[in-house]
Amino acid sequence: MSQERIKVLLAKKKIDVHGRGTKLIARELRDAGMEVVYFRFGVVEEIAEAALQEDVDVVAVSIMTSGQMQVARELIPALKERGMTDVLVIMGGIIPEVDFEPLRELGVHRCFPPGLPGGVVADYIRENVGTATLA
Amino acid sequence: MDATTDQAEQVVAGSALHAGRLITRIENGRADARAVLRSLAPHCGKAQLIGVTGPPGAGKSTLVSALIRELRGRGRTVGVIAVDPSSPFSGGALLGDRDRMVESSSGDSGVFIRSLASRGASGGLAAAANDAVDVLDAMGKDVVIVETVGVGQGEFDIARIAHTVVLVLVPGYGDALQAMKAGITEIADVVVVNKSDSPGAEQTFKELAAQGFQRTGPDGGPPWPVPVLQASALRHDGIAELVDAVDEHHRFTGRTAWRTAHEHARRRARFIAFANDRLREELLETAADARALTDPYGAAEEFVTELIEAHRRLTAHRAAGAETEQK
Repeated sequence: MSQERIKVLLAKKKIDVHGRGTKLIARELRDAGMEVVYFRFGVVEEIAEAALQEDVDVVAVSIMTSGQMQVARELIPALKERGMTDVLVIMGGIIPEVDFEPLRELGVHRCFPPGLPGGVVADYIRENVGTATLA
Repeated sequence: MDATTDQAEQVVAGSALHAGRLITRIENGRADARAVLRSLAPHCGKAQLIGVTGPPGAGKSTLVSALIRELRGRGRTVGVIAVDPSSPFSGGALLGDRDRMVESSSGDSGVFIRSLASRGASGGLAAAANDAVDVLDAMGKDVVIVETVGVGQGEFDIARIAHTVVLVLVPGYGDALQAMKAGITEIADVVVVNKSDSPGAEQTFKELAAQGFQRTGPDGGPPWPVPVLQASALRHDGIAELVDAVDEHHRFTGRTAWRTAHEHARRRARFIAFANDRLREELLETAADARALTDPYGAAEEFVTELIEAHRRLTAHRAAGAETEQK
């Protein structure tokens, strides 16, 4: 069993019912050979706690009903606090492009706009996993 | 202090970061995980191990969630290893168990949940799950629950890690004959008919309860009459009774030769898994590369015969050495 697999925590808000995009990404990453923990969170701390216990390489957050800035402001420190400093953090969904740069400054490595062709997210993860740091 | 002892001590101290990383190393079969596991061994054996198995969609994860809530309510800490299948095509996996469990454990440091993908390795999964259970045990969790889909040999091997195996069935699964056909009733210590609020639950329950399932002890001692219960995990109905039944079984096996036999079986599985790993990595791979393999059967036969002969001579040599020393 000496096969390493990229493990992704795919998180979306529990109260958000827009699950099609998340499930699509979940399937895409699975088909790209990754292990995807599908997870709906109530509070942001839960994402960090799950990332820690599951020891994931990537935390991906789906945002369909805004709140991305607040999630990032809480998530990045929560991950760092737990010693998860080498995890790749990405976001996707309905995020205004004007927020991409502020989110990057908060520590989110990459935001994906909607409507991308299949495979873009998986390719990005494969290229950047293991090199990211939460400085 | 060397890295191995340090990692082990961090896990024993309850560090989720170190426990999580150690389990990843176990999954990846990395050799240094074995050294840490060895240092953890003295801290293992305190946890009560519960296996939860049943067909897909029976509500296992929801039931585990209810069990976590009930156990936490009784002041017991809980670890969970949830196994989901890997895709045989891409090798990827969609691990969805945690999503249903976290309701009962959010922000609670007394609960540690870890999802494992089966990765389709023959026999390797049970060994990895066995070791992952040890990690949570060493962390000091009072109860460790292993959840797995109850289909196939590999899944059975995982369920066997547990002291008590809870089989989750649902109305509409079929009659009692279906349950017996699948062979799954042979592994169950406690049977629970979940979704007791749905139509047909009463009949499924009665049919199963009427079977009088029994498990015979390893020493031919007193048999364990398998209790059949009803529960609705979603409504938290019947969960206290389920925990009581599991505890009763745990006390029962603790009093009899069951537990000793079980512990021995786990030790044996560990020995075989560890030896197997090292033999394969350090001996077999090289041996296979070094041979022409025009006759793979013959080459394997010859190789194994040589190994056994070498081991026999070594044992004899050691015995002779010990004799000379005594004189």
